[in-house]
Amino acid sequence: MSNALKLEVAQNPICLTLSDPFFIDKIAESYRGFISGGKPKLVIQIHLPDEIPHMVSPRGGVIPEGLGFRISSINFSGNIDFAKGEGNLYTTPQRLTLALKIFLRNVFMFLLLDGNGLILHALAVLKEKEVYVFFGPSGGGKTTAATLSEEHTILSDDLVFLQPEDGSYWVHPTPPWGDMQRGERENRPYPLKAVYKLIKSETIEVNKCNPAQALSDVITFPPMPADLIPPHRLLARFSHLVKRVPFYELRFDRDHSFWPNIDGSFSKVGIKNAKRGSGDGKQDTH
Amino acid sequence: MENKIPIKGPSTAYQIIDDEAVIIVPSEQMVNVLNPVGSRIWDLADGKRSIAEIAEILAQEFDVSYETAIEDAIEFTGELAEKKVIRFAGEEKEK
Repeated sequence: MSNALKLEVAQNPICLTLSDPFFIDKIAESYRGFISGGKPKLVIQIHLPDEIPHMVSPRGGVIPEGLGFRISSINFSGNIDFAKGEGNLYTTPQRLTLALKIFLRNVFMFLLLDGNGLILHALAVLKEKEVYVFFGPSGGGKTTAATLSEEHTILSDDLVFLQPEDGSYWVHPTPPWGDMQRGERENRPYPLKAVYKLIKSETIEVNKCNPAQALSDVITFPPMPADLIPPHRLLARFSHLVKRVPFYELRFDRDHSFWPNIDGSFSKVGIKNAKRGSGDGKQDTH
Repeated sequence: MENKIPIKGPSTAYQIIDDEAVIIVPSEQMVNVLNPVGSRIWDLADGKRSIAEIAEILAQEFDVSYETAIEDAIEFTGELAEKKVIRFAGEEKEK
């Protein structure tokens, strides 16, 4: 049994250490598929004290500190110093799973954004080795879209990690931070095919978005202080994304025409009242 | 009002795509998309030109009367100032 565990998300390896190997095994079970052999960029010491120290304020939050941040909530507190490549997480054994989930989400978000990556609050579906990303307001249909994607792999239903490379965008699988992640996937980037803004509707339509509107709709403010992620950098990255990746507005209903209409969007943009219900992927001819 | 000099807010960031400006104010988690006329006003809000000077440029570029341009420019810069996306020179700085 070991008291260290190396994890990797979006090609960012980190190492967790904890004095009790029992908990390391428990974490390894939750994060299987993300265990890494790479040289860690960060070593995070997990502490399980009787009382969680407040490192930000009693109300919690994230504040910048040097080349890193302090973070705190009711379940944990912690800090990261990227210059030193180290950090600490303080929580209790009962709260470890939830605390680690929130803490690591922030750590990997920062590492991704500190590189050239982007984060979307969205659903990412892997279909035939390509990723389709769906986003929308709360209640806008991500859960329905996930339900209508039973045959495919749900890479993420919470945070989608994107990274540009060679003129394309790639989606990295994330650990099981959401509720609906399922299906086979490897811990490697998959090419992004298109992004859809979901709108629940009785009318089925797929329309290409104009880039400015797509940018306005998709931009996601990470829960990081602006000192850590300068606004102009954030906007420039999203702007690059909307110029490189096709964006569509998808009005859809809860029926089997969901994927046939998406497949049709690449051959015929602006499909109004597209084929409903049969799920055979054919378009109306009149 | 027409002599006021609009300046882009220091905590904003923007990109202009296909003549439309997308402006973000991260502290407010706010995103604004401006139409081409609004985008041009935003672009010209450089802290040097007055609203009247901006209106003269708009009148020429968008082929409208100066009266229409100044009315639009006053109304629009007022809206942006309310949203703290711009401020006016000499007035209290954005906190």
